[in-house]
Amino acid sequence: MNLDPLNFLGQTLALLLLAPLLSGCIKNWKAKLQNRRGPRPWQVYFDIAKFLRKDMVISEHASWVFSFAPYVVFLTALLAGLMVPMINAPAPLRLFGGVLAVVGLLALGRFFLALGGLDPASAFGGMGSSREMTISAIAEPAMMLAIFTVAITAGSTDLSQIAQSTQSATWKLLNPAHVLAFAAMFVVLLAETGRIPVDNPATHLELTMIHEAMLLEYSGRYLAFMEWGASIKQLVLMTLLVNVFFPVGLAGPQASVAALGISLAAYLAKLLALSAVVVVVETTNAKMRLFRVPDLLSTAFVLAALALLSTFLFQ
Amino acid sequence: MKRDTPFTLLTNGTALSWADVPEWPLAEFLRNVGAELGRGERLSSFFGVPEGDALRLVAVLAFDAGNTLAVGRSQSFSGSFPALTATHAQAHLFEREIWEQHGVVPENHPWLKPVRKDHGAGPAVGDFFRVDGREIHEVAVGPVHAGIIEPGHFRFQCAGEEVLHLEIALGFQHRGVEEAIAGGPHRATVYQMETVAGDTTIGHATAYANALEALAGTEAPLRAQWLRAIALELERLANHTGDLGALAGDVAFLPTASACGKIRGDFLNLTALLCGNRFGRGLVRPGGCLLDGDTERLSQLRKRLETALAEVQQAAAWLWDAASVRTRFEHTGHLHAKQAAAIGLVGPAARACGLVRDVRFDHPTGWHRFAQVPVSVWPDGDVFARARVRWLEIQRSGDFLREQLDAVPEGETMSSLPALAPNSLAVALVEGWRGEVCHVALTGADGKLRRYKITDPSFHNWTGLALALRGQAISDFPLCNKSFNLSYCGFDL
Amino acid sequence: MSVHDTLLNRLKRGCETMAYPKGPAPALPDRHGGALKVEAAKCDASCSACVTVCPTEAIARPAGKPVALDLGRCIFCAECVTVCPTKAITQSNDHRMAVRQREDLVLGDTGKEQVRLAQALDEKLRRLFGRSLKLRQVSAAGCNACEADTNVLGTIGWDLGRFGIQFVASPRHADGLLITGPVSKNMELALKKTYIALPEPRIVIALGACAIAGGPFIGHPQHHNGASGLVPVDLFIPGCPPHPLTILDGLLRLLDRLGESDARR
Repeated sequence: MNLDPLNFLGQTLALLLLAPLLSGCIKNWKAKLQNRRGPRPWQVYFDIAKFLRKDMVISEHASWVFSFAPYVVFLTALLAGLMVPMINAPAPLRLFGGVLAVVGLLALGRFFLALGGLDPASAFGGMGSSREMTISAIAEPAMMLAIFTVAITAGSTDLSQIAQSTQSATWKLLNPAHVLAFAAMFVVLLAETGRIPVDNPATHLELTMIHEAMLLEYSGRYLAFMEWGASIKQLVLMTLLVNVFFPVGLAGPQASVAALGISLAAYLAKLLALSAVVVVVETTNAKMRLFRVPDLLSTAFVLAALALLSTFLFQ
Repeated sequence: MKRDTPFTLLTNGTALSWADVPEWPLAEFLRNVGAELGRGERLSSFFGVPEGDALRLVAVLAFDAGNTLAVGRSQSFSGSFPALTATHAQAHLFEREIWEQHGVVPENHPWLKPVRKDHGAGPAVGDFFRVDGREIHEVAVGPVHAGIIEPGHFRFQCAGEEVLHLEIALGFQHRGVEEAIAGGPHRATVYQMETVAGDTTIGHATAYANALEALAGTEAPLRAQWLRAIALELERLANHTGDLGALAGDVAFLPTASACGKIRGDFLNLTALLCGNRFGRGLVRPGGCLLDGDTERLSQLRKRLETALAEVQQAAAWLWDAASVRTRFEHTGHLHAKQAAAIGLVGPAARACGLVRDVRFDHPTGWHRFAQVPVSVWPDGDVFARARVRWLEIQRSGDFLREQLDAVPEGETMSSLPALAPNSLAVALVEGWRGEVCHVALTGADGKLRRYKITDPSFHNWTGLALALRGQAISDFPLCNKSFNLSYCGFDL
Repeated sequence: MSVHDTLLNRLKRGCETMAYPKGPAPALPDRHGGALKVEAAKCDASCSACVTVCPTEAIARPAGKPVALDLGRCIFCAECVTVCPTKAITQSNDHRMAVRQREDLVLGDTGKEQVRLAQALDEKLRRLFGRSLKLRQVSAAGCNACEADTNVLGTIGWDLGRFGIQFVASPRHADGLLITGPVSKNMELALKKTYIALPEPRIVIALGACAIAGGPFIGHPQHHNGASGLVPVDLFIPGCPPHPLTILDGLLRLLDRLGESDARR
């Protein structure tokens, strides 16, 4: 059955539509945990729609990089998302290098995000970019090591194959290497999506911002794509976490509609469970001091390194 | 404690004839002031009184250990005067202000810059202390900055993330309050006194009322003094609760931030229960209090107070228990007791450095002559200490209110104010929630206010923030700023 | 704070956000007074007691014309209410005071005894901002009371975020300005620059007596007596400071989010 164009289209739509909803859900649950009603989960849709229709005000110091960056951030997140299995494996897009390509695409997006923060020559943007780079310098290797761990166990760098291989032998889920890698990836998730304790996504304090600082100069359409791209990246990382490390319920190729339905339900359930954990972590912790964040990420790196070692030790 | 001093002693909230204020030639005057500051006394207010084309300087010193104030003045002079700042840092902003308001130059002042006025382009433009170097960068924040907050300009000299020096430029909110009072009090004066620093309405209104009552040779009825004390503590409770919530918010500790935001509103509503306005406007007037509370209203106040205090207790408990919060607060924004004393720091910020200074304790007036609130002190001088002092003050204000609401004095709340004595000087100090509010009133021969000097506690304390940021990470600035929580408009007048 | 404590607290206290506007509005403090009501028809022919007693000269009684009280200048001291012999000026205890046009705050004449409340934004702007309005607050010499009561709208009881209204750090992310304070000369440039940094379409809200007409400091040469002279204002919310309920009512009225129970007069 030639599922591919349908698969491609379906996953693209899912990424585009589910990402803002997920951000909105997390905001809503954080609010609920603070005993208030909070914005509706679909509020982010309204925000993005409004930004798309608004005019733009651009600093006179900005160059083509400023205008180019939002599209790069958006597209790299989307492409990376298409490579990660969501409802069924294999994922619609297969690029050479598999998981390395995913990391590379996200890194490209981050690179342009940081350049976009530097371009308008604002002090806050510059500080945000430098902080983002400091964090990613440790977060990225941690992420790669964690993914390599599962890749080695599965014998391939193709994410879909990793997911299927892990699925076929469920005892692998309790493998020490697997657990350590999952823990490392969870910390990286918090860092990459700019959540407490690494960064506060709801802050208005420019001097403490990391991710938000790079967006301060953006407006209108560009801002819409930046925000959308950021939420897609969040969805991609969370999907990576739930579907590659816990591919329970993931439908295989040539799956029946019923199997796809189960897969969708399992995927959403896992996603919501992970979001709940993120919300609880955010609500019960204070934000770390900036120069302590590399310490946290180094811990993630060490966990990932240990995970990798464990694959050799426990083979 | 009797001590030899050439200055005339004066109790807080009283007046004396202008002729009785000791007068010396300029050089001797400055030497005398310097001598007192050298002995460890504090400069509460230091300003100029124009006399024709010439100027007279007046100093109001606080002898905290002696529980008294001291006043003195110089003879008229013009042109320039040797700066006190060269030897006593406490005077630095006062001398800049004298230069700005009257044009006389303090010679050898290390950093002579305008305090509030700009020279065309706004206070953010001008000379700032700069550090040069290959890896040094300058970050300018404000006047429009972080969230819903008053405007101010902060110029950081940074090496990477570390702040080497912070210079704060204010004046954006200059509304001309002192200038407008001259020849008054006018119809609008009391309303302007209430909004000098809008969140310290009771503090400033009480100081104004006390100053005018002192000039009129009278005192507000006891019940009014009691009501003023109640309102002052309610104001303190609301703002300290808000501060704890804001500190939690700045480190993104959501439970306390959300809870305290709500509880602050509850305390503001308690003030509104008394007078209809959440900030206490329309309550304190020279002569007494405009509104009163009957038994029913006061018992309702008492009940709602208990609920709010219990809630803030729990919210604060979460804050102190969280290890992630303690790592953020401890050792951040550190200020030494010596630095604090040198710049004349007041209020909770000073008490958090271990300095025991509180106007309710050192210079009691009004109801504080009869009922004491223990002074809340914490030794460390960091953000944690400042938060802790606020927490102690919340508890102690709560206890004070409980005690006072259980023992309501009888009597009227308003009396008419006689005419102000001519050619008299009055000083009124109030411990507002940020610290010492100082109002100095001088009447002319016609009994009208010839000169009125307002010193908000922020006037002393902004320098403390600038010092506390040295060597800190720039991302800790909002937290440090919030831990001081100073008034921009109280400084700008 | 442990996870256990958080969840327990949440279950015990429940949602603390008020039901308004889907339920009745919380009551104003009983001594607050709310908006004023001025019935010029009740005035004595030669009386001008209110004019002399008003600290901001908000009341005028030109010869041969009915008394006019400008609620935009009013700092709600209630001196006029106390001094009026015929009860022509009374307190209505109504928290609703926001208007679109400055003239709608002048009370007194027949048919204009009370505030003519704000109409919603026009169709185009309502479609754009109705579900998502981001505001940049600029304190242009405000005394911090208006700012404090605006901050209170973000707390859990009021929860402004549930309407899609949010205060943002960058003016480029904002749809509107919320100005407090009489706009000092020192803040003029900053206000103008912030206004220009807002992408079109944009709105401006003047909050409080100072931002509308200078407040208690009216007439001082150090400021511009409010924001109207510098930027076009779309919504005026009187008060000193306006009660959070008044501010919320004004914002929701502008976006037409108030629902049937509190429909516009």
